Amino acid sequence: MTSRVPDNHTTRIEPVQGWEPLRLGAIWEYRELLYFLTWRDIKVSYARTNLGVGWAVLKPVLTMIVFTFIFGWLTQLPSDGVPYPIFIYSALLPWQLFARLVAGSGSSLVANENLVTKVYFPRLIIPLSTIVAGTLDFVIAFGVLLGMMWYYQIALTTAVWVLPLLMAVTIAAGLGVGLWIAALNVLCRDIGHAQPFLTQIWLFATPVIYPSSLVPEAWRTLYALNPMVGVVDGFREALFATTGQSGPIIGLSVIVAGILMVSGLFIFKRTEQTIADRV
Amino acid sequence: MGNVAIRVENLGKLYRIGERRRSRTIGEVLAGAIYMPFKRVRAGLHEPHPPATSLQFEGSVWALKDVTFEVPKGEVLGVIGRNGAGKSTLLKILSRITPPTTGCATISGRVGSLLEVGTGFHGDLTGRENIYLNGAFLGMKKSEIDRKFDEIVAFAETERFLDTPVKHYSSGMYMRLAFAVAAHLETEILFVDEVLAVGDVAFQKKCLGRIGEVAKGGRTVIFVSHNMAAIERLCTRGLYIDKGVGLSTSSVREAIGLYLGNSCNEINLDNEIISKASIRQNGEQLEIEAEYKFEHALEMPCLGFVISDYLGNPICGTNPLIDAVPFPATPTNAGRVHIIMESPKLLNGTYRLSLWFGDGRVDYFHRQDCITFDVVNMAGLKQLPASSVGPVAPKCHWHFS
Repeated sequence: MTSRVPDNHTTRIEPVQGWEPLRLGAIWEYRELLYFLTWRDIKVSYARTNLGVGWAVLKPVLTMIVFTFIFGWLTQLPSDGVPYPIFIYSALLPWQLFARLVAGSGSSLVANENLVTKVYFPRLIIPLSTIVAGTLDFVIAFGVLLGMMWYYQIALTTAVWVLPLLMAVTIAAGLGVGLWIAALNVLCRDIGHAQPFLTQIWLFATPVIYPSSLVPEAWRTLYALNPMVGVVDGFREALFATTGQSGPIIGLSVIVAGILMVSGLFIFKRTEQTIADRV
Repeated sequence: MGNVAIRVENLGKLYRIGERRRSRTIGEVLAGAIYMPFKRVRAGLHEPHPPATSLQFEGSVWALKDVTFEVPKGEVLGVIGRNGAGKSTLLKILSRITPPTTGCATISGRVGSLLEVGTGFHGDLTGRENIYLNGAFLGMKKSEIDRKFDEIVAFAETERFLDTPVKHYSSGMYMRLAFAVAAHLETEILFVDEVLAVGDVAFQKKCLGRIGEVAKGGRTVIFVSHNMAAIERLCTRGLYIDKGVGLSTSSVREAIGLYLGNSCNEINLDNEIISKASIRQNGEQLEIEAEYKFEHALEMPCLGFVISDYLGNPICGTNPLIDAVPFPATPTNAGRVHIIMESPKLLNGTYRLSLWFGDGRVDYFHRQDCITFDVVNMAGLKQLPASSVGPVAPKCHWHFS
C-alpha cells in the first residue's frame, strides 16, 4: 500500500453506451466499503430487536413448524421416508438464503437511493453486501439442523462436502436473480412489487414442501432448469441419502445459476451508469 | 496532464423531462416480457440521444452543454450560476455519479466529493460507527479514519455521545459530526457542493474556515455555492454557468460580475397586480423596479419592500407613505415604480426581497421572499464578515480627543 503512488491515479469520464465490461477489479479497490456495508447490514438488521440474532434461528424454525403442521400433518405430503420436520427444514435453509438474496439485492438500489445519488462507488457493492449477512444466518440456522439430526439419529455422511458447493450455487442463483430484479426495478418499479410473488411462486416450483419424486417424469428436465431444484435435492441427498441420483440435476443447476449470475452482472452493469438519473 | 488537475472538454448532459416514463402496469410488463423481452429491455436501457442542436429538445433538456475548462493543480475553482443552471449536474458528472451525454473529463489525482454531508449515516448506529461508515463512503481507508478519528471527534465536539446512536443526537450535533468527517477527507482533488448552506451561522463559519484551510493546503478544489462572499474569499478562479453553458473560467471577480450582471434577479407574474419586479446591485446602490397594473386609478401606487437575510430575518424596509414621498401629479392605474436604495449598505451575502402593493390603506398584493439576490462589495472592498457583525455596514463619524 505504501509504495503506491497516488498521483498516477487518473480518472477519465466519458459517455457510456451499450454493454460495458464488468471491471470486477474495481470491487477489489472498494473492498473496505464492501466490508463496512456488510457490517452495517448485519448490525442494522438486528438493531432494536430483543431477540437479535435469534431471529436467524426463529425464522426457519417457525416456518418449519407451520409447514410441518399444514403439509406434513394435515395434507400428509410424502417426504421420501425422512421425518417431515427435518425434511422441510433441510430445504428451508438453502431456500431462505436464496429468497433473502433475491429480496435483498433486488431492492438494494432503490432502497439505497440516497447513497446512489450522492457518492460514487461501484454499485455492485450494494447487492454484494447482502451475501455475507445471508450466509451468516444460514450458518447459524445450520447449527439447528445438526441438532435435529442428532435428535432423529441421522448420521452425517461423507457426502456433506457438496454442501458448500450447493451453497455457492444458491448464492450465484440468488444474486443473479436479485441483480436482474435490481436493474429492472430501477427501470420500472412494478418489478419491485412483483418480486414477492415471484419468490412465492418460485417456492412452489422448488421441492421444499414436497419431494421432487412427486413431479411426473416427463416434466423433470424442465423442472430441473430451476437451479434451486438441484440445490434442494442435493442437500437432502447429502444429508439423508434419499434419491441417490441428483448428480446430473446439480450439474444443470450449476450451469443455470452461472448463466443467471453472469447475465445478471451484465444487465446490472448496463443499468448501473444511469441509476442516479432514474431512482 | 502536466500541471492540469482537471480537464473538461465539451461536457454535456441531456435529461429527459417532458415525456415522463409512463408508469406501466404489471400486466403490461408481463405481456412485454413475454412478447418481446429484448425489445423492451433494450428500449429501456439504451436511449438514443437527440442531436445536440438546441438546448431544448422535444421532451428533453440539456442540463449542461459544451462545457470546457481546465483547473491547474492547487487552484480553487468557484462555480456559480442561478438555480438550475447546471452547477450540480457538473459536479455529479465529475463525481461519476451520473455519466455525461457528450464530451469527456480527465481528472488526475484521488477524488473526494462532498455533495452532501452525512451520506450513509444510519440512525441506529452510534457516532463512532457512523464516522467509519461515512468515511468509507467518502472514499477513506479504514487506516486513514483510524488516524484521524480523534481529530474528527474533537472537531465535531461530540466526545460524550460517541457511543450513542445518532438518532438521539440533536440536529446540530448530527450536522457537526457529519461535517467533521467530511472536513477530514484529504484527497488531492475535492468537489464541494453547497454543503455549507446548513447549520447555524457559527457552524457555517467554522465550515467555511475549514474549507479555506483545505484550499490553502495546495489541493485542487471545485466549489459550488450561492454564497458569493464565500466564493470570492476562497476561490482563485471562477466559472460562471448560465442555462447549462459554461461561459468563462476567469478571475473570480469577473465570474461574479457576469453572474450579477446576468442574473437579473427578477420575477414575472402574469395576471397579477405586480406583473414584473426586479432588484439589481448597481455599484453601491440597490435598485428595485416593479411594474403594476390595477383595476382603478391610484393616487399613490404604494409599493413597499422588505429586505431579509438568507434565513429570512428582516433587515430593512420601507414604503412611500413612511418615506413621505410626494404623491404623483395624476392618479394612474398602471405604471412603474423605481426605487434606488443608497443606504443601508449591505455586506457581502445573499438576501431576500419581499414586496407589498396597495393604495396606502389596503394591501392588494404581497409576496414574501419573492426574489433572492446577492450583494458583492456594496459596502466597499474593506468589510467585516456579515456573520460576525450583522448584515449592514454602519455609517459613522469618528471623533478622537
